[in-house]
Amino acid sequence: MNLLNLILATGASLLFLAIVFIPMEKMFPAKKGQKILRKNWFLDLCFFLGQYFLWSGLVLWLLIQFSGWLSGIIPQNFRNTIAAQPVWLQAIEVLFFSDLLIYWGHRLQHKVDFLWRFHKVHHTVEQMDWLAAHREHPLDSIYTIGIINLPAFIMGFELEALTALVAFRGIWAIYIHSNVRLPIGPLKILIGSPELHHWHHDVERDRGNYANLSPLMDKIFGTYTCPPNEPEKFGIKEPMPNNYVRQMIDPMLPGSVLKGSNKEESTETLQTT
Amino acid sequence: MKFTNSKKILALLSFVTLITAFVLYRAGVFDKYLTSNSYSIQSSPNGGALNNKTDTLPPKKDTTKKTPIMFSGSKSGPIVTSEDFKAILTDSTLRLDSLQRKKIDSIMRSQKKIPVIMPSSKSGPVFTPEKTKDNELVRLIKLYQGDSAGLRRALERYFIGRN
Ligand SMILES: [Zn+2]
Ligand SMILES: [Zn+2]
Repeated sequence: MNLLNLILATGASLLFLAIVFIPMEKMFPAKKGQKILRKNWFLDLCFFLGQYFLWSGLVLWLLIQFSGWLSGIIPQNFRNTIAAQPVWLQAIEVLFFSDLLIYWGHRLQHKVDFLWRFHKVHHTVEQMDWLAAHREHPLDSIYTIGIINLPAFIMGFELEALTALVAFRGIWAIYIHSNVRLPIGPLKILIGSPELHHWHHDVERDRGNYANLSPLMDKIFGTYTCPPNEPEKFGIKEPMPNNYVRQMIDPMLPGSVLKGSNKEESTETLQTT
Repeated sequence: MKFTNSKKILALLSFVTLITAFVLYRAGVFDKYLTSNSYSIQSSPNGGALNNKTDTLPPKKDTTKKTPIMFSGSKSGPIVTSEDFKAILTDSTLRLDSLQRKKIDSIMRSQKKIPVIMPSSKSGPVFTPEKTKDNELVRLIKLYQGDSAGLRRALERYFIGRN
């Protein structure tokens, strides 16, 4: 792969996202007065660059291996039965099961300490915006992307038929992190919005809103929450250094920092740059 | 007040337009505009580009199922089957030297099919790098998808036009 092309694609992505989201954050701010270059924006830029330059290729490679391994163990009869269904029905099944799996997969990440130690990196964000959406540990990415794609891998469904929806899902996931508050009325039952996902990032670890694209799963399983105001404080109660390398490494170390404890310590105390 | 409202409407319009454009782009709706169907070859010694009408005819689709498609664009479907690819590279009647064959080989290898996968629940890649700098050659390969004979002729013309 050509490095120059990769740099250009990354730069274009950053510029595009800035053009899409900054005007919205300025015009419809959820937290008024939040600056573009807010606290820890550089840390999130590191996560953004890390994702484009290092992790997305690795995650994709691992997923291809995983799907290849899965296709070897799934009975062909099962796949033939699935493939005999109309494509639209397969698409609906894939989307339903991926939403169901990611809902429970995400809920587990908040419940099980071992999973939380990687996922909590995403929750260390204290000021929400479009760039903060990229704060994600690569092992969390592997877990999440693996689960979301599992139904398609098992059913042998090629997502190329749903490229538009896949693209929408990707950019909407960034949008729900943006510092925007724009009520969408009754539509918010069908499609996730910043006002819902911001509550997921509340400092309380089990605030709810675990669903991905649509909050329907939260409605079904009783974890939907949508207070009229913004949460007072985002982040986690545990200490975590605001440093890219530490946030990458610490969750993998067996020891104190990464334990999914609920110590009521401020992250301020461990801030490094 | 009015000024603020119009700025809000503008921000909302640009947001909706950009998201829609992005989704359509990723779905390949703009491919026909970004990937010209009438490719130009430099066949005049003074550099004038000529549009060869016969080259712009859409190639006939090969409906016979061939073994795994190994090359594909990031947004579109199959380009050339492995059989086509091998046949082109080993065809001694093609007027291509070893360097040109090597170039075709590396470009085709770099076009390996990347499956569409659902992004993470937190964010997703916006733009991914182009596979090769030689977009004209890639366009050519896409244009002659399923028509290996046409592709052979077009490749010859492409390289002759460059000599
Ligand atoms: Zn979470
Ligand atoms: Zn989030």
